[in-house]
Amino acid sequence: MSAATAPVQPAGPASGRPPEPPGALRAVAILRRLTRLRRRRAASRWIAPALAALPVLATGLLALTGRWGRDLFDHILEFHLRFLVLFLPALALADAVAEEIEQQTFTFLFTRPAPRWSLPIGKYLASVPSLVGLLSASVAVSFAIALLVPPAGPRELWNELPALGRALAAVVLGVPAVGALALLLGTWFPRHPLVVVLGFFFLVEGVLGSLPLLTVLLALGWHLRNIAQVGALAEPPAATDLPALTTVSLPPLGSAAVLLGVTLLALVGVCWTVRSAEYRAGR
Amino acid sequence: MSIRDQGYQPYRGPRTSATTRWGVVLRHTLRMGLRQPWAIVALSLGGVWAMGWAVALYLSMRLIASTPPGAGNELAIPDPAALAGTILVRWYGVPVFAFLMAMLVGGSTIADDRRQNAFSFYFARSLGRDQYLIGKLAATTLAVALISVGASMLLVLSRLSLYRAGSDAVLPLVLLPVRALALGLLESLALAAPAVALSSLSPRRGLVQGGMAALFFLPALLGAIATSLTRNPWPQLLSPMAQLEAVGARLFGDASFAGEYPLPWLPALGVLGVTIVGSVALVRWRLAATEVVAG
Amino acid sequence: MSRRRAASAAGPSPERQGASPVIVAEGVSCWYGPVMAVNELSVTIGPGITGLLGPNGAGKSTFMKLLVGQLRPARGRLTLFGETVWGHPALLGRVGYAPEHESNYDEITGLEFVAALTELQGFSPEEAGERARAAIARVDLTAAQDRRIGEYSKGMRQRIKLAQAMAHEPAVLILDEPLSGCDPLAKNRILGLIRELGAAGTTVLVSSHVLHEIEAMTSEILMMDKGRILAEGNIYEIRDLIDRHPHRIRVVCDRPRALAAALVREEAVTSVQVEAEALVLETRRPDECYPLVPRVARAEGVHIRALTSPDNNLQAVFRYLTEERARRAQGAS
Repeated sequence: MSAATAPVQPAGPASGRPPEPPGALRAVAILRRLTRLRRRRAASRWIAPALAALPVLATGLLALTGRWGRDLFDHILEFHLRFLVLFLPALALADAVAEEIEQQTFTFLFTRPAPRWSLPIGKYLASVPSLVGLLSASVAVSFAIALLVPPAGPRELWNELPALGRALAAVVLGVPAVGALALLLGTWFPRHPLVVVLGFFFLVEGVLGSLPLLTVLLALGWHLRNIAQVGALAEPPAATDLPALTTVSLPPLGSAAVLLGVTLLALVGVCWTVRSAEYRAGR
Repeated sequence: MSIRDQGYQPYRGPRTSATTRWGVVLRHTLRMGLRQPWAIVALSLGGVWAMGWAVALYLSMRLIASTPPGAGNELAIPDPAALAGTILVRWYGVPVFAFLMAMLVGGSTIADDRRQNAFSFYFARSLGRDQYLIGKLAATTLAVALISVGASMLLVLSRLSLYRAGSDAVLPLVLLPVRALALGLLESLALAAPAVALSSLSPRRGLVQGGMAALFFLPALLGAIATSLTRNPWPQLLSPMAQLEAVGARLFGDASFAGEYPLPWLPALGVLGVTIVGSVALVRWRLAATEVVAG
Repeated sequence: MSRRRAASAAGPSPERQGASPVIVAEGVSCWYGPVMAVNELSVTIGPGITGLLGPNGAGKSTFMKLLVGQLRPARGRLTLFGETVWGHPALLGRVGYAPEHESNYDEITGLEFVAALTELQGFSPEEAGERARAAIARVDLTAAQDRRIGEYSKGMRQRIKLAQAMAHEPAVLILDEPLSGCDPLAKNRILGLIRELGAAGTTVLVSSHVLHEIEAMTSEILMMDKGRILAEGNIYEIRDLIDRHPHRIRVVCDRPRALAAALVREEAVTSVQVEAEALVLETRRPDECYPLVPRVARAEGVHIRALTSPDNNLQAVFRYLTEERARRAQGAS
């Protein structure tokens, strides 16, 4: 091994100075575009719209059997908030990094002069706005069907608009938060990320979130329902309820702050994890 | 061009029967599946959880023993023997761990082979596609059964070990292992078959596992919402967990399994059967259409 | 033996005189769990083409991944243009890398793939598109540039990987097994392209486990085995060494003793060992021996069933070089 001398600028076509590396935002935009392009052409592109159409279909069917009004909408909104808002962002984002490792395509991206975190953030930004739009539309159409079916009508619909506003707020805040959390868990556990995310949701949303304890504050689903004011949270506490431990309450704005905080913290966690991780897919 | 004899002698010794080679696929799939760290986690958590239930069973037996005859009913102490079924069908039992195991082992089994071009390792030799299917399905069922049947049988053994001559009816206790085994195997197959079927649809593990989650949670939640609105059990007919609850309620003679609006057990069993048979048919169709190609 | 090793002591190789190293590794090690993939590797690589030769599992791909900052050296220092690679993504603007694997984004077209990756190098969309088209044309894939990568053959995938690696005209090009899976025409095309890039002053590090592929591109080689640099220098010197290496030929025949008795009289044959239905002869002049054996067999009326050389592979060359190195070290001490 010879002693290293001063590095050389090679001659030839490669000798010109390379362009400035793309800024972080530009790299994010490129990867967002690439992800959207791939998603649009993937065979799985119909899954999210099909699932988002299900509650609309269910509302229509239930309306045909004589159910209507706010009660019907609240039940359908439970499906949005307990399933779709949790599941669709998880499905889209849990394997954002894992997919690249599984297919070894990260080698093309992480050997570019762009910050590594532009990959997960680009994918996040490719998925979250479209999911928010899709689920908001699903909520709004379900609302319209439930509130326009006779004997309800435009008057009821107008009166209940605040409920729609709260539901949409839950979707707009919930999808980014769940997506960021799924992205973080998937980045930490890139092997079987969706299983980890679903296991986490089962533990936190299913178990801790349904106990009559302060642990409900850990569950994103609880905050979503708190913002939308649906389910048990919308009902006044019964006289028989035990005080202290069982009645956990938080203003909807507090829940909104929690969701925003989770979103930001999770995204920072993702960026931090990816920037220094070594991904080894084979030798 | 001439072919020269270089002294090649084909193997003429004994070989295993062509109809039992699924056993090789089973062993290989099971070994690979259970080697995954998350599968070990699911198995361990399921085991710990089942032991917790065994302690609960022991305590409820002690409670019954310490109460005067007839007072047990007033105290609404559940039949400890039925816990062997409850642990299989209620969400706070072991179905979540069994479901995770089905996702981990079954959800990736054919998808991984397709993605890694491993079909050629199987189908370039005298192994039929049905043999491959049986091996994959049996391995996934067995992996799930390690949790579901394992937990249920642990409770059965706990209950049998607390047998008290004179006060315990013998026949229900003799039938208890049979019932628990039947329900446990049905649950294992009901979880494993759709997982393997979905695994044959896409090489992407994440999509398969997502499909599996949707298949189980979506009809359960939609069914529960519709049942709550219509006060009618039929919307739950497509929910695998509701189907298992209905069959469990019938097997263990405990109506509390099936909730406020119990689903009739026979249609539930029918849908479970259709799901299992349909899943197997789907995998067969997919495998029959599979060409072994690289890249 | 190695010109480059000699260069370590006596100065750089003639055609690279004046050129300072672009890649410098000093005692670099990397582990995969308990397996040491790269072991105390020290090497300097200058402009031009360098072939990285070694059997499977030698650590070639790991060394390349270390070079493009995908892996962090567990020990030692690895620099490109004098700067540490790990944690300096800006440095990758001057590097092009074509990995060994075939996996790719199957849903997008070849042109979209190369253009997007070129944009990530800092080019505007228009400039990236133009560069992508030019790079694709250089690998002779223009006709397929608007087809989805999922429809590409193995050889086309290799070429699109090469196109994305060179579209931004990097100063350093790292190509991991770029010829694997290519048909002879595509191989020739890629070989020509790599030679062009090397002649233009790009530092090209290209790996293979096939000696003659590397030989067609460059005379400068690094031989790796078990994570270490085994030999470095001019390929012709290494070829000489291989030729001096006692070469074994195994002959499967009906009367090995008769053939052995006849062959032992020949000058080209240094020793003969008889087995049950075969004989193994050793020679330092394999080119003479291969026609000699059938000639002698015909004269003796021996029927030959097979004629093979256990040494005719790279592994044997490595084994020989390792033993040679150990012998020299012993001799020196």
